Amino acid sequence: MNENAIIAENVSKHFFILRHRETAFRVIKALLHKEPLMKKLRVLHNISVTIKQGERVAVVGNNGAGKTTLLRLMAGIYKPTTGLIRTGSEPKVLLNFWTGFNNDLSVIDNVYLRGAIVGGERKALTHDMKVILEMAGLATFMYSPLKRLSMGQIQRLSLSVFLNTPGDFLILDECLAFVDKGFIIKSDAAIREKITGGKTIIMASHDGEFLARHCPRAIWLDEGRIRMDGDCRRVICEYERSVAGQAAK
Amino acid sequence: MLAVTYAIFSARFGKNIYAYPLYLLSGIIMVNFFINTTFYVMKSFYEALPMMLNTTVRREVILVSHIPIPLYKFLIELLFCVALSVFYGRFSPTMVLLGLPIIASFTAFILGVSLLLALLFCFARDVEHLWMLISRVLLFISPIFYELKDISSWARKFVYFGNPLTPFVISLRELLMGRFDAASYAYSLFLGVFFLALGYWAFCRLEDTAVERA
Repeated sequence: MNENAIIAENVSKHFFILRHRETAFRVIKALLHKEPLMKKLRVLHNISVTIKQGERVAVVGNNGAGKTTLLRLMAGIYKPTTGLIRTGSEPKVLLNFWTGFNNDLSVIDNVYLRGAIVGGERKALTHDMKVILEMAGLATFMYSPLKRLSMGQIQRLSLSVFLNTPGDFLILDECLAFVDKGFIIKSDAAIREKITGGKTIIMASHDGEFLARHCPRAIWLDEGRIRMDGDCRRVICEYERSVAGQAAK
Repeated sequence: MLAVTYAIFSARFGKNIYAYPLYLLSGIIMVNFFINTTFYVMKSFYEALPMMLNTTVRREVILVSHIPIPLYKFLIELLFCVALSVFYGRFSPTMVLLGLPIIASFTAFILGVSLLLALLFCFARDVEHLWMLISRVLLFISPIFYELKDISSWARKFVYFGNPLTPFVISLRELLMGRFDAASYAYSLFLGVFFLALGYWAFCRLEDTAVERA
């Protein structure tokens, strides 16, 4: 386990979705009459994957393929329905960029809030405040309320706080969905510096170019199953070809 | 609220009760603390769902973080009770020392009940409305306006053993009145520990399912 950041063995995940509106009376009725209140939805099927420490792995797939569920399982947020997941250390996660922010507080206060969620200490955040705000391109907005910022600016702030707090095992989901190309190019070197150096990174994104630049390995999820696992450029190329083929139909 | 309640109930129930304003206020603030906090925490699991699904922050920490604000308000209100206790010449420093475990136990009791309600709320949304009805019933079956000795022996047993708020109300109020009810005091400490253990046990068992169902 020491060499591996994550070992997943035959992991499946089911969710239960409601057949009816859920009320206490319906729950009691369902229990008394033994009527199922839910139906099963299989999201992941027998996923087996091993990720070594220091590896950078991309996860690609269409919407609903199970990427976020897999990342939540790896982060320990969900428990697998069947199978086993073992992690070497607790990961630091960035699964959406607005969680933990407060619109009415200033940018600087939100750095502390978001920083606390991703395990940053107040003293260290105060020390790194300038770097965090400069990386997000928000140094002049530090006392503005968060609600004055655009979605892209908030995402830049979230990513900057995340990358500037300590952690050797990072899980990121769609971390660049709203940011402009300029920010991606400008911060590419900074991101590379922050995510290399022996850190284990698992990231899901629809930006194939970004993934290929940062991750040597990729996993392609298709309808809850691993369709391909290997060299990042090759997997992304196959995935994009498949998407183009589906679109042409 | 105290003034209105006093004006309405003092002639009927408060005639034979010494320091009736203190008697009323202490009961009202305790039941209010219970009702407000349980409502607040009950919905917090559901409302904090994005945080629970997208961060690795411990879920019980997210729920417990909803307790300090109502607790702070309760402690401020309790200061008014202490002021009334001083006014009636009933205050003693021993009462403060004996009161702290009761306040801690009452908070633990509220947290335990809130954890149970927060879980139930994830499985059925109308728990909120049912709890609103139940909490109103609890308000009237708590000895806030009346004394236990004023009701029938059957009702007395029901109010004391059927309503877990009663021993807390009695034990803290007795301290504010400069008296000590050992039976209610011990029963309150037991209830606090019991409900917190029950709530936390249920929470540990059901939190994953609740997150997926919420």
